[in-house]
Amino acid sequence: MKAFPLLSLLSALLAGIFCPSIQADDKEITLYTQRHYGFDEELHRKFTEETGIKVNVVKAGADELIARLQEEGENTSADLFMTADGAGLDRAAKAGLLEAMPDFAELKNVPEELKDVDKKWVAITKRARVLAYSKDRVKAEELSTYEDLADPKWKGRLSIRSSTNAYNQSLMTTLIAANGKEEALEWATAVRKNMARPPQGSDRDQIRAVAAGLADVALVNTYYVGLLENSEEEKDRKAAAAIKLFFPNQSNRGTHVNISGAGVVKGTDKKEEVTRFLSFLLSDEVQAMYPVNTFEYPVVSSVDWSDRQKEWGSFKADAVPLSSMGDLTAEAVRLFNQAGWE
Amino acid sequence: MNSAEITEGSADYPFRFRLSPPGRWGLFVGAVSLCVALPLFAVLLFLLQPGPEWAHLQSTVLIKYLGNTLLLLVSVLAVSFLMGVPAAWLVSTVEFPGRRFFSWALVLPLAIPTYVAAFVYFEGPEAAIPLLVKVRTQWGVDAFLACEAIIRYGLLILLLSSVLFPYLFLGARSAFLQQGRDVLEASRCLGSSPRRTFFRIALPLARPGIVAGGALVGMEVINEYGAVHFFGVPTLTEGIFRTWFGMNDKASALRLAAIVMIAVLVFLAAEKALRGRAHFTTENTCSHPPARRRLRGAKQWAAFVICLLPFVLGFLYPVIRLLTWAVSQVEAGSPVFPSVPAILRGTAVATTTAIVVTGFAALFAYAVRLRQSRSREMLARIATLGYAIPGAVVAVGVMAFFGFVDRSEVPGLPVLGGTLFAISFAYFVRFFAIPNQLSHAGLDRIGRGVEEASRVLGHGPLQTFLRVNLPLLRGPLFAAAILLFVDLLKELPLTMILRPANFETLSTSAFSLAKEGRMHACSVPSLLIVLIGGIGLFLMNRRMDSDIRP
Amino acid sequence: MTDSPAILRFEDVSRRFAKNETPAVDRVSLDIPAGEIFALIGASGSGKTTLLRIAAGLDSPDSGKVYLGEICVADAGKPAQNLPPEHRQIGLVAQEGALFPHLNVTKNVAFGLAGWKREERDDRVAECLQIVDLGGKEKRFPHELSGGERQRLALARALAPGPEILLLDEPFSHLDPSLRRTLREEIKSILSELRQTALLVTHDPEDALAIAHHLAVLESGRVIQQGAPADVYRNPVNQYCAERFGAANGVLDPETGETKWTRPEEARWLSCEVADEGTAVTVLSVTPLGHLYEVRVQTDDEKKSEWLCILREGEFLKTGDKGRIAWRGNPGTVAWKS
Repeated sequence: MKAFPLLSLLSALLAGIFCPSIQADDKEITLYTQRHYGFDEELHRKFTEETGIKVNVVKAGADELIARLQEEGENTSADLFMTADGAGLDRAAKAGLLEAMPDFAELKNVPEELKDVDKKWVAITKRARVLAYSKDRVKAEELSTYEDLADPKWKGRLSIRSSTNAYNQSLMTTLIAANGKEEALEWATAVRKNMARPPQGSDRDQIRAVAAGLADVALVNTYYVGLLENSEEEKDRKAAAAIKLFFPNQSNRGTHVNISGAGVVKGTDKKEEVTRFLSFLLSDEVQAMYPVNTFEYPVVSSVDWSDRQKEWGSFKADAVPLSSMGDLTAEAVRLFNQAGWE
Repeated sequence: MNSAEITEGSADYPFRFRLSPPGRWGLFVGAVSLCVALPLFAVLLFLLQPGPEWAHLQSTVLIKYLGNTLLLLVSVLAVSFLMGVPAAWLVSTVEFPGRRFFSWALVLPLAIPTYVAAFVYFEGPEAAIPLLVKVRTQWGVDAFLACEAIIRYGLLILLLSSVLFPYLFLGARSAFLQQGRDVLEASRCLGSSPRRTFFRIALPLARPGIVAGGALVGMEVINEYGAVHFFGVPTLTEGIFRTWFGMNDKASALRLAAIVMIAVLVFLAAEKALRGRAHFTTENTCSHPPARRRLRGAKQWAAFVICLLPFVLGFLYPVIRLLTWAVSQVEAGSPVFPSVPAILRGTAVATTTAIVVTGFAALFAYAVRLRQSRSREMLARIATLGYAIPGAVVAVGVMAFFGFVDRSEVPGLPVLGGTLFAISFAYFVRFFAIPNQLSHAGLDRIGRGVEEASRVLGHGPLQTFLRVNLPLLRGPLFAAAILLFVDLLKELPLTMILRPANFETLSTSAFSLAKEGRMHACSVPSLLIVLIGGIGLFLMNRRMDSDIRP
Repeated sequence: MTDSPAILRFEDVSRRFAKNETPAVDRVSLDIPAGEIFALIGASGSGKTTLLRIAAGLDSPDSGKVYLGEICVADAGKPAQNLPPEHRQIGLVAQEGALFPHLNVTKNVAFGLAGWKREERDDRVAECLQIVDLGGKEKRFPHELSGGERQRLALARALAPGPEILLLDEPFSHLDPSLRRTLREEIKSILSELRQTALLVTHDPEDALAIAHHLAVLESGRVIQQGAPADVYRNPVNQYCAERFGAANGVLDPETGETKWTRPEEARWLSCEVADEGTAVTVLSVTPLGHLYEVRVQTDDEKKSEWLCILREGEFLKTGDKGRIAWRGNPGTVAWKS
């Protein structure tokens, strides 16, 4: 039979692919994460070495993962849910997908404003959304607040990524909380009009655009600057050298700080392993690794910033509670739509 | 009932039916169609119930999404027509230097996913920045904004056309190769110049092939997710994502998807209606394809350039850029290699899915033919619609379906949501149309003669299929499996949403790196996609060539 | 040959498709006179279709010249100046019609009338459809016509621009015999009514004999005989020529010593008693054809040739019967091998 080799190949492939996924191993946890940094994989390996617990990973956007958790219900294989944005975490908690974390030592080191009141989630790292401006064409005195970006003097000089992006959506929720819906809408409309090009690309691309002279000011997360400075590409290092960071709203409510955090998925039977993983992530050792690897700020106050972060300077953070962000996300997207901010 | 009893009773061989049991085959056709149709119907249901955000969408972004989608659709179709059809005409009817090479090489751009092409072409807007800065200092901000938009839209249209035109090229080429020389000569003898003959006879006769290719291009544009996002041109697909995930309004998102689907259906139906009763093939038995006329002088170089240009834009240039990036990565000492076991698993899933789905499609096409009835033909038509829905929608439909199955806790059934089975099933729903259509065409070409001969010689329908049709269908099925495999290799949105733990494909690893703006790092997985896909397409093309011209 | 001027003239035309191969057309010179139907007959591969394609401009000769009227349309010496088919004012009816499947009847016929004024074109289309009796089917598509209608449509389309010469390439070959006969008659009457010059290429003797005023036999690319159909039929110059028109028996002319070809129906059966006339033969087999019989006989002389005869007497003959065969118009011929 000619079909025989084909059939045997097929069955071998099928067996090879499908069998391992069915067998369950007690010494493993499954992580649904929005974080897409290579450094996380190193951390997972380190964790497995130390504890023997394997970390399985599903990577996707926060909202896609939430939709997936909802559909999978109690049959989900996820044990831990991680995002790169506080609003996503908050939405998952409010959708009833997360359960309260058991107490563990490291949790106490995290400041109150960086964890959920019901202990549904906890921040692992912090990042500030700041202005990256051209050293040559902009003076620091010209910059002041997020609100100032709506000023006509910036026409054709701003570079900001798409409003589909969670970082922008979260920033918008703080503007709504601070100034109200109408003003937030006016702000978004004016900022969109001031852009040098329609929103596109990642935060790195915004910095590159400023470095290349296309725009003068970009709105980016702090750690991207660190990543660019340490990039394997010379072009990126040059781009990072051409810009400076500015922490807006220091004179009033403070710079918008977002978190990357984690929550325990409701109904998991791996509570013990998950707790070990969380305490691992919040341990001083790992917390100290973030500032030098991903250039995010640690959440544990006892851990020191990296030298580069210290050079960026300390800053006042917006005190708006993170738990309000999830509620306002849909409103933020609606306002972005109305403002014509793609 | 009666026939079924006889079959059961007198079967001396498990796979042999004395009489055609319409029950079983009908059931099979129904089951396959149902699988594909379920997410479709789910989507259509939402057409009637607007979600909470619908009015908001309508008043804000809907027009923009629609406008962008239409603009891309029309211009990409036009540009890829110009790239694909003249080249197809040249390689199938005239002889010039490089013709043999181009006749297969022009298929290769299919191996390059649109988002990978977008990474490469994104250098364009970057490179144009100094020029744009000059425009701004000279003519002010408004001129600058206009220039920026033109460059961005232009490049997006160019890059989409460059990697999608092979669908049109393939459709047109097979149509041109099958055209008899007699009608073309008849036209010449009736006083038409070669030019008029091309426009009045050859081109209209190639219409079904061109429309089929164009429909594929159109659906790819509508479902496009990576490249449009990258170039900041939001289309309806992005609108679906945004409404669903950002605004948490499933109903409105699915309503958008339903609009897309209906638009595709209306377009295809309108094209069919416009054909009227006209036929596009001659039933001539003795009509061979025309001998290729050798071009001379400047003309042959013109032909060479017409074929070279799309090849360079759609394949050579992207590959060279990716290669230089990869080399610079290696030189910098930090090449990012995707996790090998995960990639192997991803590729193995693509391979198995391609083979299994193709097998199903062949059996399905055969079952539909076995007893021609209106209902079976309707079912067959429905089964091809999966290609018209965005991958993300299929993904969520499948996710919801398995969520329901898992919740209802059928005894003995393991949890299926989030498994490889679920993602393979979604691939099946989304891509069933490709092998199904190729199997249909293949079966039609075989004709019923041999089938009937086998039945009269005492073989049942299944035996006949396995021993007669399947061997004869080898060529088209091979082509179908390869096309499917390449599509699976490139697939992004569906895989992103449904992938199980530790499941990485080349496309997901390339895209997540590129999304972070790490262009050089994504060159290695991108090159692997192109390499594997390119080898597949090369093999397929050799096979198809020998099918058309023995 | 008639005195009317040649519409189409081949002068020493040759065509070879591949080097080292025998030429498909080998030094052919032919004149196709005005108003006549000229048939080219030959076995498949004899070069007749190639010759027609050269006339149409769909192929070019390797040597020799082709004239349409006074104009040299193809000259192997100056291939660049060959007139392309669209400027030759010829009509072509291809083997299976080569109708445009995406155009309806009217549009098929009007296709060659580009540049005509609208009313004139409409009139001409109507007129041509009237001629081929397709009135009332204007809106049909080719696949909605019967085989005969399709071929008539092909004829109408070729006639519409009023070509100098009509080229017909095996126009009846794929029709069934009865349809073939009617269509042949129709086309013949249409062409003679229009006094249309036509070149018909065929392998079918009935086509050639029934329609042509004049015919030429092609063998391996060479013209080996031409003349009026009846002449060629009765006096073929060789066996190949003879067999183009059905069975033939080779007989030796005792006076000249030449081989002649006779047709089966020219045989006469003589019983042994009538004595000397003809050749002594033995009956091998008898096949009834209706009121006539096909009788195979073998000569009794040392050559033992086999002949095929159409005889009325077959009714009374059986295998092994002895008798004599004489040939009408060829008295005293003796046996020769067949």
